Amino acid sequence: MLRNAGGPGGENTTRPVICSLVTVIAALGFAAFSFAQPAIGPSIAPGQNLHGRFQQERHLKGITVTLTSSGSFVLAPGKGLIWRIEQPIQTVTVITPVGIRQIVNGSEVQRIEASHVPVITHFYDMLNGSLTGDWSAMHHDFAVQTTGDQRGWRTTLTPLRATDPIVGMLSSIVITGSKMVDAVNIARTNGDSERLTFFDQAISDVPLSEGDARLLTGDAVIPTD
Amino acid sequence: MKSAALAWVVVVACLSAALVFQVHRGVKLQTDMTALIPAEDRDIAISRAKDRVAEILTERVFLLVGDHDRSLARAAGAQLAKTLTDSGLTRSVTYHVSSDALKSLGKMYFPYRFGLLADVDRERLQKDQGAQIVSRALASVYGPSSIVDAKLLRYDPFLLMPEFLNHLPMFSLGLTPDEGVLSTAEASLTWVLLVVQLRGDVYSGVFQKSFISALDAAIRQASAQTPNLEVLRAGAIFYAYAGSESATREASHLGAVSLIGSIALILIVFRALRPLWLTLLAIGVGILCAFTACFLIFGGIHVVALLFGIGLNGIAIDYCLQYISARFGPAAGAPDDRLRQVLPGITIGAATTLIGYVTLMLAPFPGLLQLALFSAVGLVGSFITIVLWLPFLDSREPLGRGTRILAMANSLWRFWEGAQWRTLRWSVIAAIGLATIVGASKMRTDDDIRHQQALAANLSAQESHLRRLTGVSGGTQFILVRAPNRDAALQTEEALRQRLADAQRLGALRGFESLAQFVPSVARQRDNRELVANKLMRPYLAAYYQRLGMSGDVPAGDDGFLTLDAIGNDSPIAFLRNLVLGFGARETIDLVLLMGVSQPKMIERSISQMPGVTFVDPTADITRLLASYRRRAMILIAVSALLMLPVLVFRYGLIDGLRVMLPPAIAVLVAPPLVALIGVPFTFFSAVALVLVLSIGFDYAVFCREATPARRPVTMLGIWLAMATTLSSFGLLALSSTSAVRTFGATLVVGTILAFAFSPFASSPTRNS
Repeated sequence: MLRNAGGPGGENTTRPVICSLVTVIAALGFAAFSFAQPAIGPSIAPGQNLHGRFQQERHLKGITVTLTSSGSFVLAPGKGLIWRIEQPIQTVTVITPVGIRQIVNGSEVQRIEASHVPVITHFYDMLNGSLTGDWSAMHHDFAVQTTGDQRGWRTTLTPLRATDPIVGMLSSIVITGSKMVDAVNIARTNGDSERLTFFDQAISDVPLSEGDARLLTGDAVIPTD
Repeated sequence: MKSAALAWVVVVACLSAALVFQVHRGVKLQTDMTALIPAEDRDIAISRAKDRVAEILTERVFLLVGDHDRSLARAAGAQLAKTLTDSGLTRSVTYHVSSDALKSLGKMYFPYRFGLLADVDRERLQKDQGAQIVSRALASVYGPSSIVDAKLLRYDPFLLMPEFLNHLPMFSLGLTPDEGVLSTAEASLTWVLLVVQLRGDVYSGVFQKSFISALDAAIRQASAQTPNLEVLRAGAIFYAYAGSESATREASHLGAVSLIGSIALILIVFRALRPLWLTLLAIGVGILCAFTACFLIFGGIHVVALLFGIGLNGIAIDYCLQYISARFGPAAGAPDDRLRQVLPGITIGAATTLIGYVTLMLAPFPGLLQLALFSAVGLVGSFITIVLWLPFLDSREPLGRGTRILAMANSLWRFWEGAQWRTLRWSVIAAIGLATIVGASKMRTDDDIRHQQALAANLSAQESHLRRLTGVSGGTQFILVRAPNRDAALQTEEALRQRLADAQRLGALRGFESLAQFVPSVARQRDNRELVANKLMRPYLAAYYQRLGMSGDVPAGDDGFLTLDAIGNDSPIAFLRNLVLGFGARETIDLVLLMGVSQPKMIERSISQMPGVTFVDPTADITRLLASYRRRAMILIAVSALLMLPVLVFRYGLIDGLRVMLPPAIAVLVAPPLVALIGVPFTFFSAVALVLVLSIGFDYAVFCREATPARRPVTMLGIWLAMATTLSSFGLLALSSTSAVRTFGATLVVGTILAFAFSPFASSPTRNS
């Protein structure tokens, strides 16, 4: 029908969303990847999951205040990512192969279906692929450069195509870590930047909590935290 | 006689010359089934809207190009796009989505952002739930999927604009731009989309052929470099082309088998070549006349008229075989005597048939008019040839042998008259009567146009695959919105939108497209601004900005309102202009396109109370028309029978005239219930078949009535052969892939057999003794 007129599928609004996602996915994906490298550390086996806490400092050009948030996350290979902000507001973002959902105070305020915006699938593949050691999705978009060893390493991701509407919004992602990822610094072309610091990370064999499992299966029942 | 025969030679020569000239200029073969149906809509707006929608829908072609290698798929897509653009057969080929076009969309909306609210946000503000919007904004600011920068927070602090854009219906497409190309992935395949707008008449055979061969060549060329390339296609032109191809193929197969069948029959019975080529000559001249007349009068011919017309023209074989069979027997006489013997019978037969065909013209179907003209002219041409040429060309020698064949031919008569067959006779009549009653209880009518047309299965499969991948759903239904002015029309569409969204949730349709989804009415924009100012900015902005370390006011948007004029020609939503049907001082008429409608009745009901809103279902309208013409055709049959009666009464008197009507009447009344037994529904096309059954029935009855007891075997041989040739042509129609043709064929086959079986009834008992 009308889609012929160059129907642009949700690029306009989803582009920045995807851009932010890719930073997180790239960072966490890389974190997982680092475990997957025998030279650097242990990998996450199927059934295991990675959980930890984070602090995020976001600098928006033109705003003097640093937007700081903190919370916890759970990353389950093949299932998805739960990003739980506890301070300054409580929000839960769930990224699965099906799409992205944002939940505030127990009610879903945003949902982007991967079936509507299939590029989400690509980035999810990036995340999941890197967990299982398939690094090709990441290499499709970034030049990856790593220095150091298991005691301390630093990896720089540079977008391959500056004109790409999504990854082109990033100037670089710098990930530093040792056994686990310690920090991710993201710089954007518009002058904004953010720093993610991870701590208390652990790889666990304990199955996901019932609430988390439900979040990842997209169950209608949404826990408040 | 001789001069008349010569005059006919001159006429036929002129017609041949005219035909050759016409064929040289190019023959237009129409294939669109809907072209057979008259433009009967009295509402000009609705019929213009139908044309517009048909144009929008039929001129569009979707192609998905897929390969396991993303870059190969993209290269093939680009190559295909270029070849098609260069072909000159397209108005536009959309492959690369320019990011400038997308920016222009954002630019267009941004000044009016406070008047543009996503439905969910508008509802929240109406319910005083602005806090939810604030939470969402905060979640976006802090969340991992942050879409904000300082500038956006300044101009659109609560991120209303992204939400509005995200809810535009175009985002439901299952494709996303991947480096400027709309793509989707399926397993390991990458598909890229091309949307082609055709430049040409989709229903013209010439255009179909040139576009499809250009496309096929382009695909072949691309496949040469990318061996595993897959291409899915969808568009009306492919169905139209496949339809005309299969109809043409069927027509030629039909012609061939019918010809072979008839040739074999004549050769077996007469064991001579002359009867064969005399028959072919009579039929050939008839078809030549018919073609020429159709081309001269209509400038072309519809495939359905051609398909049925050749069949209807075949009735001339009845008269031809009556004359040729007269050569059998010792008393056959010279060719002129033979003609004299059969002339009354074949003249009355041809006259009644002609009446039957001409009656078809009373139904104002353009296709029927063509069919009637084709058949009537063909019949007259063949008849003149039989009467004027055949005696000159025929052998003077009677065929002395053939006693066995004649005896066999006469067996039907013996069956109806022989005392020894009495019990069997009544059993047969009882069996037919019972089958008729059972069949009558199973009879059902089916006027749905979609059941009459054969859609190429391969194309349907490709199309549904393509729909699944792209989310593009089809449909020809729409809603016509009429209002005194532009804003009133948009307000009506806003009200409509609510109801359609409800219907969509209930599964009555998959989606819809209206102007109001992209450009809200001024009234709605004004209301939205007030909601944003009073329910969002005033209560929440100060605290929100403080939390983010910001201060100051939000810069006001544009004072004016977004209107359709803001949509530029190169805007990604320029297609919306198609939805504006009429825009005058007094009235504005808009289209709302509906997609994937599964419950038209529910939609019709839900909007029935709205003033200025009309639900239009072109397919259903055609179906309704077919139903009314089915009923009309039934009346035509009665009318043509009545018109034939005076001819019979004039020759045979009232009682015997009515007796002659008995066999065709039985055939017409009993055939539909009998075919119902094998599940064939009664349609308009069955009714047309009955018109022919009536004519055939009259022929056989008249031949029997005219035959003196001595000439009965010869007459019956002619009827046998006539029936056999009719069955060989129409028996094949019953196997057609087009349901309309199949129904026609089945009804005709059964009707013809019945007309044959009961034909001796026409002869009065006094003549029997």
